[in-house]
Formats: sequence, C-alpha cells, structure tokens
Amino acid sequence: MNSRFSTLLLREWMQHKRGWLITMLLPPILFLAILPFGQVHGMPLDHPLPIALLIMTISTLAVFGISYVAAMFQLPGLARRDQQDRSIEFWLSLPATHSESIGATVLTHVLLVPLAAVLVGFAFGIVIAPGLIAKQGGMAGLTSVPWLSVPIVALPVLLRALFGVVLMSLWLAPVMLLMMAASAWLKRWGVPAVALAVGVSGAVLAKVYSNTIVFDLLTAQFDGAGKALLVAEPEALVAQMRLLQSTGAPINTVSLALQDALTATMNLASPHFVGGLIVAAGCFALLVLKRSRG
Amino acid sequence: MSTATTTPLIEAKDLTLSYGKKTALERATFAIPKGRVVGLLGHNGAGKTSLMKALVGLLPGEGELTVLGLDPRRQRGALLEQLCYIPDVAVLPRWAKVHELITLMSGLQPRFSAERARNLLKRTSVGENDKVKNLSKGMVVQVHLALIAAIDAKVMILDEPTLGLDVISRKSFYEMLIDEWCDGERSVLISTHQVEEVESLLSDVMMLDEGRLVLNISLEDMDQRFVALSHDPATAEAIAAAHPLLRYRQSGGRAAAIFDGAPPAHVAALGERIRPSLVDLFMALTRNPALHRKQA
Repeated sequence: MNSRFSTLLLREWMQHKRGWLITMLLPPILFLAILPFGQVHGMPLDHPLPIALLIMTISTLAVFGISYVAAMFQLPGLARRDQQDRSIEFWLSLPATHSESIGATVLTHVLLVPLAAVLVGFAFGIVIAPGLIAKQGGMAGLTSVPWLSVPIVALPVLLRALFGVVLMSLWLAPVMLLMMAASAWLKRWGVPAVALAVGVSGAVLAKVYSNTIVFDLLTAQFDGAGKALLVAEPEALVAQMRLLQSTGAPINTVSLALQDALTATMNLASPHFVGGLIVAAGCFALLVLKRSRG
Repeated sequence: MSTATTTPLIEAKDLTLSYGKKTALERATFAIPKGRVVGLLGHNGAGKTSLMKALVGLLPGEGELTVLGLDPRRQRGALLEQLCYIPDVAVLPRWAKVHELITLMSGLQPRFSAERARNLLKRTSVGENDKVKNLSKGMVVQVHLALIAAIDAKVMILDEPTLGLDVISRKSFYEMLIDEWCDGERSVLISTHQVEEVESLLSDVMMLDEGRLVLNISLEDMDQRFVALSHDPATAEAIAAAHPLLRYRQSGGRAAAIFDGAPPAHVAALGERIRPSLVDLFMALTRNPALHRKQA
C-alpha cells in the first residue's frame, strides 16, 4: 500500500473516528456497566462451553450489526461529503488520484470498519461471557467453563467471520456503490430514486410481464451475502450438531470453518457475483467521473 | 510575456474552455516564465476560475496547455506534486485540527515540509490543536497559505484567495506569500478582484474579458505602452476627439484619459502624463468593445 493511500485511510479515521468509536464501544460498555445491577436467568449452564461461545457470538454479531447498519446509512452520503463541507477543492488540490480518494473511502467504510467491529465485538464477548455466566452461576458457573478451550474453538469461527465480512462486502458492493453513485449524481434524491426505480421496475416486470428478474437478482445478491457472512454450508453445520448430540464429541470448528470458508469462496463462481462486480465497477467509475468534475 | 527568457512554466496556445455550449475561455495564448507574479484580472464570469481549473487538470479544454511541461488533464497527479493551488477561501475541511492537516499533507504531498509549515504557523495566532471550524475566515486562510507555502513547488495558483477577508487578513496573506514563498524562481498566478491591493506585488498582468484574453503584459511594458493624461476640463473635448481607451476622474476629481500607445503630440501637450493605475487600465480594457477587436 503506498503512502498516499494509507494517508487517505488515515484521513477517514481522523474524520470518522468519533462516530465509529461510539457505535462500536458504547453499546457493549453500557451493557457491561448495567450488568452488575441486572439479573440473569435461564441460561442452561449445564452446557457451559457452548453458552460461553454463544454469548461471544451474540456480542460479536451485535457490535458488528450496529456498526454495519450505521456504516450503510452513512455510505451514500459519503459520496458528497467533501462537496457538502466545501473541502472538495482542498482535496482536489492535492496529488491523490480520484480513484485513490474514492477507493480509500469505500474500503474503509465497507470493509475495514465492519472488520474492526467484528474484532471489537469479539473482544467484548471475551469480557461479557464470563460476566454473564458469573452473574447467573456465581463462581461455580464461572469455573465450570473450560476457558482455555474457548480460544481453540472460537478462533476458527472468528477467522471465518472476518473472511465472511470480506466476501459479504464483495457481494453487496454493487448495491452499496449504486447508492453512492446515485447520491453523487442526484444528491439527496439519489437513494430514493434508486429505491423507486428498482421497486417500480421490479413490480411492473413481475405483475405485468410475470418476469421477476429484478427481485430475483436482488435476492440472489443478498442471499449470497448472507451465506458468505454466516454459514455457506448449513448442511455441514447441522451434521456437526447431530454428531455432537449423538456422541457428545466436541465440534471441530477448525474443519467446519475451513470447509465453510471454502464453500463460500466457491460460491463466488456465480454469474450473480460476477455481474454484481461489473455493476460495482461501473458505479465506481461513475463516482470517479463525478469527482473529476469537481 | 515580454520578459520571458527561459522555458515557460505555463504555456497555453489557442486554449478554449467550454461548459457545454457556453465558452468560458476563447483561444487564449500566453506563457508564464519562472520568477513571475502574475495577476489574473477579470469581471465575474470572465473565465478566471475556468482557466485556473484547467491549469490544475480539473477542466478539459481544446488547444494546447502545458504546466511545468506536463499535460494537466492526463498527468494531473505528477503535476500537483510540483504545483500548489489555493482554490478559494474556507475550503479546508472543517472537522480537521491543524496538526491533522499537517499529517495529511505530509502523506499526500511529497514536497511538503511539515517543519516548515509548523514554523510558518508559529508566525500566526493559530495553534496546531485548533480545529478549523473554530477559526475565523482570516485564520483559515493563513493556515491554508502556511500549508501551501510549505510545499517546495514551482508554481502557485491562487483563485480569489482573499475573498471576503478583512484588510488586515488580506495584507498578512500577501506578506506571507511574497516573503515566504516567492524566491525569484517560483511563479505565482493570482486571480483577484482586489486589483489595487495586488498591484504592487505583480510583475505581470493578464486581463480576461468575457472569455477573451485582452491583455497579457509585464507591468514594465504596461507603463511604456499605456499613457494616461491628466488634463483640465477645458481640454476634455480635444482629448475625447483623440479616442482614448477610457476617460475617467482621478481621486482628486481631475479628469484623465488613457491611451493605448502615445497620443498625438498636440493631444499630449494638452495634459500632464501620469502613470495609469491597474484599476483604470482594467476598466479601460474590459469595457471597450473596440479594443476587443483590436486585441483579437
């Protein structure tokens, strides 16, 4: 990565760090702050390891979810951010290319922030899990969890989740960049215009011509994103769970995560995915064109 | 420019700039050598900003344009490493602190010296921890100039850099520019409406009128070419008969007229020769349709 691009990434951090820190840190910190004053019931502590892992998973998903939703709401506006505060002329006076400038913004908000959210959520999960278990089960509950086994089981799942965020971002890139391009060219009407165009064209094609291509394409894109992020091969997970129930053997998360990541990667060989990337590239070009006009 | 002795830093030949069907600049030909401070004057909509945008590769044009030997449109990145540009007042990102801007400039502009920027900032009342949004307009401009002046560039382009600033801020800006950046090798192109304030700084002047370059001359040559006659009201008719570029009243109320070239001897004898100010010349050249045809 060249120094110019890393500086543009640094600019994103400088400009948005406050918002990111609030969305990532505030919910888990608030949760931890009220935990000593609350009551915890109903956790089946006779399965302490799965419960600890479940809490960590929920913590990770919660922080990721909040940050991701916030980032996605913010994303279309980023296309016009520098025009709105009039700083575009300053940025255009510096020798960064338009592609570098837009690329840094997209990379940060679409990928790096969600990845960071996963890590932050996981880190808080390491604190929240023992806190919740101790709250319900006391010291006995806390010591019943084989904490040394937790990272061995959780780490492959975490790595699969990080890889999943990368793949999901690629699946959703056409949707996100379309929103950004629309916002750049049509200003505040961009996102409503895209939503209206997609909704109306999809409904007309479906009802008048019995052609559901628009909704099918969207469904395929979101379906691909969902599988890329979470479980690409639900059957393998179900089989592992059955094995766990029948034999009591621990879940082999390393092989499960690897297999699932492989399946998620193989799912990329799809016309939907490739078509989506082409649309995303077109939208990126539109963003560059708009920025080059000042 | 008449004083050009070396390869020009900026060279345009038949440069035409358009927004759709509207022509912003029409077949402009000029060259700016090193070590010059050039004032780009023109009314609103005359084409100044369009020309400056073209110089930094933000506006495509027809004809030939090279800046530092580079094509601004195709080699914009390389060009901006050697050229600095203040497009307008108050364009620094409002969310940033001054030290963050120094960090960003250090990473984005290879010829930027953070140490020099800090030294320049010490001469202002702005602190490195100040946020841009908390600074006055004049302070923002000083920060911007300190950042830009810390770039070891060959050309500086300033588009209305002091618009909306009070007189003290404007004076500080130009002092910093001349004292800290101009070194006899670098060239500056300044677009401004505040002609009187920049006149003493300039070595050359370019005047645009409705997209046409109506004057491109050094101030030395300007003094030789244009003649102003201060005269009594009684001689006004005789002076007018000689078709001056402009007849006007000086600050004391005395009548005067500007001629392009020496007036006939019998007319020159009617008044006292004075140096035409840049403002008067600007008025003469940008509201005289006959001259447009002559210059073209």
